Amino acid sequence: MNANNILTQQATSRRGFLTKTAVTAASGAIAATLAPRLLNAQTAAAPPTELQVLQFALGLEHLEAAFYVQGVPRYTAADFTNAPFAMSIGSRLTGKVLDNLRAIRDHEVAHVGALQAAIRGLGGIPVAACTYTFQYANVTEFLMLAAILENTGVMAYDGAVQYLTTPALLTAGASIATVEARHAAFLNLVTEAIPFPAAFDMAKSVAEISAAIAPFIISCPAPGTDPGAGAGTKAVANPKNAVSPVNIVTLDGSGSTASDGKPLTYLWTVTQGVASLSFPTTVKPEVQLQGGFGTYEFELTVTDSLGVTAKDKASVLFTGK
Amino acid sequence: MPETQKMLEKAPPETIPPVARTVAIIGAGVLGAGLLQAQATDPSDIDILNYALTLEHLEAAFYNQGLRQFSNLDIAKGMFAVDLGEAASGELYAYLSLVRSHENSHVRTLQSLLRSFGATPVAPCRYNFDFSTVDSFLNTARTLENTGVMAYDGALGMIRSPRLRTAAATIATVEARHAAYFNVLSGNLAAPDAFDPTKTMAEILVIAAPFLAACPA
Repeated sequence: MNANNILTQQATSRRGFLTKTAVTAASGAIAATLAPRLLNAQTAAAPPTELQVLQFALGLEHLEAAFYVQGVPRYTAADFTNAPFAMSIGSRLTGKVLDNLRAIRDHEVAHVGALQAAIRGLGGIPVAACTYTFQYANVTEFLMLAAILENTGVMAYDGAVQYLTTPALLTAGASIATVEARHAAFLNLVTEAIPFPAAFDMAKSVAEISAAIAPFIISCPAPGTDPGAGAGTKAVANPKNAVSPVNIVTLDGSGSTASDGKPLTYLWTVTQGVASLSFPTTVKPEVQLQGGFGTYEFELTVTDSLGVTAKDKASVLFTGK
Repeated sequence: MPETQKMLEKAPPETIPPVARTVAIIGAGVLGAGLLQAQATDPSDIDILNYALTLEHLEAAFYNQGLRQFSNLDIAKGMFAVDLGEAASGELYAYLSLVRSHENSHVRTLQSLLRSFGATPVAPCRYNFDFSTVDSFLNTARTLENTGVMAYDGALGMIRSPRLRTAAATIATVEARHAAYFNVLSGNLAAPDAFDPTKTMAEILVIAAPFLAACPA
């Protein structure tokens, strides 16, 4: 089953997609994709650990973030006002679609960052983003695919909260789950599906969700080492996967830590894109993005008092011109 | 990431701000057992279920009364219907009715969960709702749903039973869907924040208090 099948199925029976997406996809092969360790945990019939739940959530958020970061810049407000659904939902709502999509994109990017930090806080290495395939030919298909992803996200979080036990993580999980539900309701509304189809949302297992999203995943990097984790001196470069409509961005290395607790020295370099760093040896330099629309990457090298260095990367998608 | 910091450093339930605590104690005279028990610093799952039931009673009564008072035609003249397309406008009353049915369904489910634990479900109160205009009804609907989300998000971390956490989460996300719908229809973003804010039981009590006329002892 690929993403196209899901779209076709969605088009013929939009209102049934909540069940269909996950259930029919689950009958397909469970690809060794998102986080194989999670699936192992599931087949071993042991409940996932909190760290595994966070990794699972991060995998989903990577997927969602990539979908919107790639897709949202392709559309203008006019694409929505001219879309076939504009007539049925009306001018007031169509005028807000792009604003909502930008907010949703920013939320998913923020969820990625928060989960990465939470995973590192538990001593884990955050799973990396995969390579994805999203197939949509027009704005309507884009929104329908978005609705599938968001409704799947709700079922994933609702299914996962039982495995979280730390109150702070539960609260964070709940606060993300309800945001995904808001996204889902909005996208259902604009794709002319019922925004709140049931009195109780469905909760799905890790295996079911992994199967449902497998069609969107081409390949995932092998679990590796986290350049920003581990004992000793550590570089933490932010923002990561940030989206900026303006061409001046402040980089932030203040999360970096030294093994001996003494002050670090900082060096920022531009590794992708044309950009000008104002004070590249400071903790929070300002950078001017000069190459127009696109992704910019910056590498932070920190050096501790013993001469030990560590590196991390920050990245920004500039959406202006 | 600052967001995580914020999320992870959320004040534990016992650190209720002094103002809210005072209001909670003053308010205790009028309020139902559910909210009263909820003031415990370390609420049991039963306390939390009754707290949720207190809120669902409020929401269910709100829609039960409001949709008796306002007809399909009234709703079509309200703020939510302005410049809506044919389909979205035609669905307004049906969706409000669907929200009403969800809230009543939440009430019944919480009551039966409480009974299954041998606990007594808290009874509904008498309520004060401003139904003077259709827009006051719709504005309050938006407030109540967004409050419901903050209440569930704030309570979920205190629920001990994994099964009850799932139940609460599947209700919380439905309240969030309702809230998003009303937000959009009132011209706001469906989801204003990347992380929904949470509120403590005492904070929710302050928001709910004006709607409560009298609650059974």
